[in-house]
Amino acid sequence: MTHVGELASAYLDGETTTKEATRLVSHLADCGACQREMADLHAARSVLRSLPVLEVPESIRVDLGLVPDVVPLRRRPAAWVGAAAAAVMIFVAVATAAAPDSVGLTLVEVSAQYEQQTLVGGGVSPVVGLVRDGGGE
Amino acid sequence: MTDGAPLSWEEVARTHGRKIYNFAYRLTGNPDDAKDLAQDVLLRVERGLANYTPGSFEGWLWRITRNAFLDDVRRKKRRPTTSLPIDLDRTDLISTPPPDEVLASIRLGDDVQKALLGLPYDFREAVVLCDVVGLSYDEIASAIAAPVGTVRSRIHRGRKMMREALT
Repeated sequence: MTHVGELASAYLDGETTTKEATRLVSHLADCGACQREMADLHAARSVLRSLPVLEVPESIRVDLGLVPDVVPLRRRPAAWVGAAAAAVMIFVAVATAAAPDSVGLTLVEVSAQYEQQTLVGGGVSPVVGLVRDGGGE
Repeated sequence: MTDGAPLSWEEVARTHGRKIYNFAYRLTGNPDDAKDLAQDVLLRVERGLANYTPGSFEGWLWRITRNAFLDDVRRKKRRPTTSLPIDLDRTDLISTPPPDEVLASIRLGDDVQKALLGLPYDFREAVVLCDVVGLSYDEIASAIAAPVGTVRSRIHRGRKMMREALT
């Protein structure tokens, strides 16, 4: 038999017929050159197969609408800082103006009321973007 | 392997997206081109699903992928750009922070990637479809519209070239 040639790679991949495999194994037993070639091919194959599997970048999935892109409608951190500061100021004003035993609102209540107004007024609320509406054309 | 009618486009993208991206990355050698190519392929799949007739889904999918890549190469030939070097520090491509042994394998992977890019296209494509994507010879033959004998020869020669490049 001639040297194994391309039969060697096919054998490593389980892509030979039984007859081819028998011939190859028989030849390998007596041919040092083909044994070395087989070892080289095996090494190349192993190295290719050990390449790290890369994850699909999130941006592709978002761009194609495969995952929802959850983003704030408007990023307004300053508004929240302002709201918190305003809540404290209201509390201080109420507490200062009233006797300690007649304070009508607690800080929590004042803050809750203010927060409710802010949300109703369209403050920071998450929306789901890039949701595919059809899936077809 | 999925024969018969594929599921929805979203399912195709979910189940094959990673393979398509890895194929694209190994063929192009850089994340930006791979991302563009993978997106192009998935959009082509979306358009093509309407006309898909049950058969070898893998063959159909990889024909689309291959055509997208070759179209991209032709476009770039018309508008030559400087090919980006492989960035050794692009560890952000991996989903989780890699431990030392994984970093070592990435660097080894980078040598392999460089060797791959040195292969003529036909051989690079054959070994990537076989050893990275994991297709059978029949599926590769269907994808590249060539006889199985050609696939066998290209994989064999591609691996020999890889071995020579890495020694």
